Order: sequence, then C-alpha cells, then structure tokens
Amino acid sequence: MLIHRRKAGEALLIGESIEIRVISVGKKVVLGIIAPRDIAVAACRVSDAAMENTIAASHSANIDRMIRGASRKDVPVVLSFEANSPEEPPKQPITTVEP
Amino acid sequence: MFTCKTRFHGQISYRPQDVLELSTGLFGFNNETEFLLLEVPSSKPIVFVQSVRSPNLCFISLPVQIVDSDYQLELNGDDLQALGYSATSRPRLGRDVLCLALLTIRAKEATHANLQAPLVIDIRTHRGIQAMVVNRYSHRHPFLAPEGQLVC
Repeated sequence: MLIHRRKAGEALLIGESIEIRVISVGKKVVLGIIAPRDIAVAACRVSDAAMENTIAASHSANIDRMIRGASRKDVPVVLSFEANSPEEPPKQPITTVEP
Repeated sequence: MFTCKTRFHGQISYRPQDVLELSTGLFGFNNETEFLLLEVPSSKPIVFVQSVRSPNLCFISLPVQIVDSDYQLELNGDDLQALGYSATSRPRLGRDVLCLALLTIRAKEATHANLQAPLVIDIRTHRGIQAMVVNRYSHRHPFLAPEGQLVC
C-alpha cells in the first residue's frame, strides 16, 4: 500500500481523473474526491454493501429459533425458474375413464 | 435430485436446474456463487436465499415490490451485461427479472431492506447478480413489517 502524508488543503491525484483532497483533519479526516461519477460512487458503496451483507447474514439466535420453529410445521419449497419458462412442456391432461 | 443442508430448514432436495448462479458472488461473499431460493408457505412472500456450499449462509429476502411498491430498477451497464442484457435495455421487474432485497432483521430494531444492492435474477437463465442500482436507494431502508407476519 502506498501511503502519503498530506496536510489539510493538500491533494493527490490518481491517474488523470481522480483527485483526492484533504479538506480538514480533526477527530475525523474529511476528504474531498473529484472523480468520474461511477468510479467514486462504486468505490464507496461496495464496502457498504459488503458490510450490509455480512450483517444480513448473521442472524441472532432468536431469529434462528423463530424461523426453524416455523419451518418445522411447513415444508420449504425450492423456487423453480422453469415454472415461468415458455419451454415448460405442457402438463399431461388427466384422462378419466368412464365406468 | 441433489441434497443440500440449510441454515433454517434442515436437509432439502433440489434439482440442479433450480440452482441460481451468481458468477461474481455477493459483495463480501465473492466465493459464494450458487444459491437456492426457498419459500415456506406460511412465511410467504419471504424468500430464503440459501448458499449451496455453505449450509450456514442463508439470507432472508423479500421481492423489492413488497418493500416499496413503486420500486424502480435502474441497473448500470456492467450489471445489465452480466445479466445478458444490452447496456441500454430495461428488464421488467417480475417479468424478465426477479429482484430481491436482502433483509437485516434485529430484535428490538426495525427490519432493514437493502434496496441499493438487490439480488437481480434473470428468470430465463437463472443467472443473477447483486446489483448496485443507479438510483439513490438506501442499503438500510427501514422496513417495518406488521408484528408477527414476517417470520412466523
């Protein structure tokens, strides 16, 4: 990792299009970033999304108990994509035999 | 038929064609590329997103339209191409793609739905991605389900 020391007001450039400027330094560092919109947005949000996924995947013991309890009475169904697909073969007609 | 151990529902059987392929995984879970979508009749419309290789990994999700009936899916060009669409197309919610918001459920806290990074699954190919939508939806959208209706 490349580490730069910068004072408030100083900046550094990554490539030709990304500028990172230190706005102020206190308990928190405030950075100003000038970059093509998609790059800056993605870089910040991907780590948020990863963090949110980790939280979403860690269920409390309570939730575990509730869901396991509820599913004991009920059989889970694996969602099938084929049901929506036009390639699904037509169902066999039920033939009834008259007595 | 194959079998798979699940976090909440014991061992289940599934057909290989029902496996959802997320070739790039989920954010923070890049190696998790195969999932099954499970529904339990009594907890509909919740969809459990169960990893095939990690029994302990199961996300709880809802179709985005349940969380926000006016949800607009705007995908960036990369995400569209990963799903097999042209960069300018607009796949339709529920018809072309299934779009699930992952939920964070905490005791004593509001349930949050991640509307910013939904799971988008192409219904024809079963391929999916965790998208990063272009619109400014929150990844922690507070979503209060009516008491007792969510998981029981």
